[in-house]
Amino acid sequence: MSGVLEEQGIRGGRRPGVPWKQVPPVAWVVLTMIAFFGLTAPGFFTAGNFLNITLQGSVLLIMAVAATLVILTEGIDLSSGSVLTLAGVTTVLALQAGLSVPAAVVVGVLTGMACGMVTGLLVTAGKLPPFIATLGMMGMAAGLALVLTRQGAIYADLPAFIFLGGGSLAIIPMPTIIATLVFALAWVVLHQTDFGRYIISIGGNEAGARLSGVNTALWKFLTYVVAGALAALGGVIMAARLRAADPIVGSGWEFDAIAATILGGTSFEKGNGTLGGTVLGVLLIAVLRNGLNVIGVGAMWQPALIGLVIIAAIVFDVLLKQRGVIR
Amino acid sequence: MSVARQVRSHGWHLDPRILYGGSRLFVLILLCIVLTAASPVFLTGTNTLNVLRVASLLVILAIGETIVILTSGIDLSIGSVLTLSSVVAALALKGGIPLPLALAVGLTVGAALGFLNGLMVAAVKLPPFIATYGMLWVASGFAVVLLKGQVIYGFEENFRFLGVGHLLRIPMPIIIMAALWIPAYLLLRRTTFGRSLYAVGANQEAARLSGVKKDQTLILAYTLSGFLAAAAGLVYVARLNASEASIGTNMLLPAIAAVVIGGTSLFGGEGGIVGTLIGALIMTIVQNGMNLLGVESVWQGVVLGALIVVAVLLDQWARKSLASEGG
Repeated sequence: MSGVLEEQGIRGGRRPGVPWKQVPPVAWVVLTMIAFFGLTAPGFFTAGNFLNITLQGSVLLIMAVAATLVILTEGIDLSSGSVLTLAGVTTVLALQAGLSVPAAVVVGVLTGMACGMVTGLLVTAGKLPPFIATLGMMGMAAGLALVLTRQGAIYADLPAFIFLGGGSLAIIPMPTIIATLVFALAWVVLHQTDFGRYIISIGGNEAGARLSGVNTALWKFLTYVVAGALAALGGVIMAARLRAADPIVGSGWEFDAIAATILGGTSFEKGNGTLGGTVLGVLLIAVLRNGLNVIGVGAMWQPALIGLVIIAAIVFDVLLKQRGVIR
Repeated sequence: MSVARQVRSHGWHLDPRILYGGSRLFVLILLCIVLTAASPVFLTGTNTLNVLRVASLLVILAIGETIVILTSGIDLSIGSVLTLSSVVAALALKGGIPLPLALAVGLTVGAALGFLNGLMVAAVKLPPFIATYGMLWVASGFAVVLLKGQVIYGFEENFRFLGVGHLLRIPMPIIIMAALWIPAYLLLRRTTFGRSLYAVGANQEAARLSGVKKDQTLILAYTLSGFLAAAAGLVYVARLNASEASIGTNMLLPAIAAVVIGGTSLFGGEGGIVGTLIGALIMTIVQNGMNLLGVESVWQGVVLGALIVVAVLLDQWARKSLASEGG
């Protein structure tokens, strides 16, 4: 019975009765927050501020897409924030060494892919638990970023580079455009390619996927490489926005990315979830950050408050699911 | 089982398990011999006490981490629990609250944060790395809020005694470490709780079915970890004579490295704090050695990350060959 319903859900057919139950709870939270900030802060409901939210959420969306792919394979990537930092550093160093902007971006993305390869090898060939492999990578990448920058920020001010972070096409900020492209590409890969099908099948039942002939080690490895590349892209955008690579800029980003993924309904145990849900999770965090700024909550309070809201939301979500209130 | 093994090995053949357990002690002794040869001051009484004093903070933290890892969990929040509880105690001291009460407040904060971790893991059933990673950011966020970005300097002599004082010429941190390590050892080896820890870690479902109070065991394990992190934080602040919001940031990786090098399995149920003591000494001597050899401190993150990964890889490899050899 429930299998039939689920199949209808997958094909996009509406279940009869209670349609509101199909709306993920995070969507209600986002709407409530938008209404709250809209009523309390005069500057919130403006086109400029909404573009601003997409700009602030863009790097997080890229990171969260990566986190979602990894979590769909029942893995975790605690290193993405440090990889973001390291890739920003290598990109700026490449620019300082006189490379062209596209070449420097390639250097940055390759840095991330290299980190992803090491993590992927440790998880697949080394059979390490993903959290320990990526915790090790977190230490190594963060340490290398400190070594390469000699513990201070390094600067890049080429107009063509800064455009990636601060420029806009028509009125839409470049980071928003890049993040949208990344999301679209990830959606196509996940839903229209063998790679995507394998990611989903590994998460559902890894042993089963392996027995039915899927090279699970290869696809998991590739997932970590893609995650590394996406974190690196986030690092390039951050460096372009800040016009500098800061050796601790990425600290904590992995937490926001994982939180957005979980809030978006992706499950660790079952390895199921959707990229659409992750967008809602990212919106939740981005709207919360933006709203707190607009209503004038100081920067000092924000990490504590946002962390508290995220953890409370995750606990609430899990408890509701266990009690069968929501699916 | 073990009798059968001894019979099969004819008594004279060294049990590979003992060989494996002893290998880290061998590494420690080897390190000491190398450093004694390299530096004439290494084996002096003063330097030995110095190494022990530096190691004791790590040992205190790593005892708690061992207890949690034995349950096949992980506590990623110890660094920021250390920070937040020591900040609260420091503010209490500066606010004129008597020393014993301020210490009790700090330890209670640590235990309470650990208790919350335990609730999230046992009752809500969040994966431990998610629950404690959330706690990491929340606790460090609140430490920033409480300190308002400042550093508190200069504490009363009685408090500072915990960090810089001596008893019978032995530095206080060593005495405090011993006063925590010995009860912890007895707790793990001689009590029902200790046996439950190993049982829960080895096989949570079987432990539950055979009457082990799994949830209570988990909650107590995380509470102890928070308590010990707070104890380490108090000693550290007493030694530094300053309280700031970033003191715990770089404590997590060394503590996990000490546990892993000490031979406690990340999959739970195997290991103990004798190994952790040796692991923490190895870590301290390696760090000490890097300083002696003039390795820049910025490299230490890289080394730590690599060390954790290599230690877990070696440990898994050794266990696998033990399993295939021992039958």
